[in-house]
Amino acid sequence: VVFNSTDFVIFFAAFCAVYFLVPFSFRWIILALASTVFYGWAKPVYLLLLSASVLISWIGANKIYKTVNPKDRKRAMILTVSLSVLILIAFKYLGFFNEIISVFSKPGGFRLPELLLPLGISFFTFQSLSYVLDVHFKVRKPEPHLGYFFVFVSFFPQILSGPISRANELLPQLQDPKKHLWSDVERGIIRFCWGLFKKLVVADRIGIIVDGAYANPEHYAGSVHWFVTILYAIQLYADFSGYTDMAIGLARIIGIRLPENFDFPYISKNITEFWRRWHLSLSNWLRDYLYTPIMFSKKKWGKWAVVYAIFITFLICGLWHGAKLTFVIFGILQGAALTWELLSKDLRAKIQKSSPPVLYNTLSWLVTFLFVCFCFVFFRADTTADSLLIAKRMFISFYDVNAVIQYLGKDGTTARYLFSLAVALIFLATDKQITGKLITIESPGWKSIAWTGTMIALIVILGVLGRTDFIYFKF
Amino acid sequence: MRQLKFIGILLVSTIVAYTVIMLAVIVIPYNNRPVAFITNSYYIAKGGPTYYKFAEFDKNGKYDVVVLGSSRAYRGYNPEIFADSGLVLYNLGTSAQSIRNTYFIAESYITKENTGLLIIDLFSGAFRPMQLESSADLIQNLDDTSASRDIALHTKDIRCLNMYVVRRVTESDGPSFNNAVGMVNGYLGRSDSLMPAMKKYMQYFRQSPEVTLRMGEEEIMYFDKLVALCQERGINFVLVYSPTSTFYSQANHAVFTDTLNNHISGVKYFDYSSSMGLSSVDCFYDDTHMNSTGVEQFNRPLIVDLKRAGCLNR
Repeated sequence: VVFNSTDFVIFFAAFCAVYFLVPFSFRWIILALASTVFYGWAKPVYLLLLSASVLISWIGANKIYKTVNPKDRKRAMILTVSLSVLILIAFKYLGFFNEIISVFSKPGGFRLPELLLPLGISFFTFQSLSYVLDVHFKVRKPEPHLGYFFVFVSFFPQILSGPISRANELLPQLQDPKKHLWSDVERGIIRFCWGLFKKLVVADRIGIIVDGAYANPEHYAGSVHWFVTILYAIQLYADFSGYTDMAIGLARIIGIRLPENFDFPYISKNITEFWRRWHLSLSNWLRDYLYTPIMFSKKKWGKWAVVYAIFITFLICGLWHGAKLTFVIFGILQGAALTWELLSKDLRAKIQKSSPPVLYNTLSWLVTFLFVCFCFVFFRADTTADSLLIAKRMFISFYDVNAVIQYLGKDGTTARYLFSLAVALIFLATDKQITGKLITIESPGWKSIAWTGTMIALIVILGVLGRTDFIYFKF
Repeated sequence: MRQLKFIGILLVSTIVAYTVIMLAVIVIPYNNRPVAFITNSYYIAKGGPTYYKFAEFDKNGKYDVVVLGSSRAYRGYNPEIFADSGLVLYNLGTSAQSIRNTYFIAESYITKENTGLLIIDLFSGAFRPMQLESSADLIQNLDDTSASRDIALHTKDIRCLNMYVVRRVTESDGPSFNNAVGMVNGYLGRSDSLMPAMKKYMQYFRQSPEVTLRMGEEEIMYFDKLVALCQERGINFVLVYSPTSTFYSQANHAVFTDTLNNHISGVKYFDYSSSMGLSSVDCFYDDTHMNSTGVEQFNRPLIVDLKRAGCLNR
């Protein structure tokens, strides 16, 4: 069940009715039940997997905490993390290993058995891993109550696509009997509607234009691929940040604050800045639990320790997104860009000094944005062969404007496509102002409420209804 | 109080914004149509076969046979062939007509007095859940506003309500196109045959034993309501599954028949889906639609069968 479905609205309304009726000390039970129903809706069997992941982390963290000897403590941590990661590998990466095996073996040869990818597995695995590592690094004590811990890992607004919360952020909120404020409900509803607008009016509308070229990449020139990939960047942002807004809004309705996940990433002037603005909960996770420990473990290598840590981190970042070679390429490209930025820091500082600021900033932004878009080819393409074909064409026939005009006119859809482009541009132009206001708003006045009503009307009139899945569900 | 204020402002602003924006996208023209048509692909313009066949259907007239169903119906029952047997047939089949919408059409258009025999042409695809194409077509093109409203409300899709608003606001406008030239009493035949390329493509579906049919529970409920409506009104009716080509999935058809058998006791059902021996290449233009040659070979024995079964005695 997805947020943008009637089933979910009914489910959430029923949940709220019960949640607010029961005393605070029992609310975790309602949350646990709701999360179980939500996650098990499509395939109840995956609840076993979720429960296994929860138990491994909970028991492991308690064991780590109780172990005094540092070596044994580390062993317990490695065992717990390995078990969690093994589940992730078994369910997510066997297909990827098959892809690699197929390169070196005959068709129809040996293949590993493949399991169906459970939704949200990457998210809830990382969320529970962060808890285990926090206990190991003595950032927090283990949670003694299994019920609260289950809610922390399976919290239904965020289990499918994040934001990946830390135990220190979410667990205290589940246990703190603070007075519930009606303004939280208002803010939650407003944020949810904005997310729904982003998803249905912007992302899914643009998706129709993008899908055509990616379905048959061999039919289109590089210019068309640039055009649709730039649109894909907008689609991906509207889709994922829309989901995040909805998750944050739903949690806010019941008085829980989830971390922000985006900070207007497409205004970034370099890739380092981009990763400080894009999918923040994942970037911060990778920084804290992967990049920093790796870098410190190799600190005697000096600058090369950073390069090494960057590459390992972004290789894993790529693989986290999906079990495909395209995501490995994506990770390598990000790693390469960040390494370049690290090694060329002095050179770039010199250039910046000697250039007019407007020119330097504009060029930095443009190069960064185009590079990000180029990398998204590997995010979006269905196969490695498709992604390489598209990438190649983007360097060869990127100037063919007629091909873009022709693409927009296929099947007599020019007017509809141009309308969608206008919607996308208006969204980009207003997103910073609107989202910024929604994050900081304290008590919504009648203008904010009326604005939300207008959003709902726009969703009903302009929403592309019927395309339900969020892009990040497959990660 | 604050809660009421929030809900009140939200509701009022939503309704006001919806009204203003919707009116704007309907009133502002683009290419002789409301600009709403470029905002989403589900809008269907007024005109074409559906518009004309309902406009020309005389509710107070007397037809020996009326046909309801999907495009298989409006391509599959030729009034001229029935006329050879002295029968007046009117074909109310429409594109992708779902069984839910068949019920609403029957409720608004079919009576014991105007229909001697109602043929409900069945198609497994008409039982799939949530069929927007059929609803959008009918909401825009039915001449009966209450039937259009019922379909808009009962399709349970917000897009149908938008479609209905467009229809009501543009009610006084005439049809914007006519591709129904050559239509006789709602029938629009095709003379082309199955193309070799399509034949090759469809071979895959024939060979596939996979069942892809998902019948909606609500659709089956509407089928039951349709049967009950005919019985209550004393309408003489039969169910017919017109011929299909060899490329049509028999795996799906078996599921369909199994499901239907529990709902049609005491109802006359003629299943020609695989029994007439029509050549798939010469008598069809795709896997499920007959061309005029196929219709000729189907309609004549059908009339004989209907007479033999005592269905055409009025």
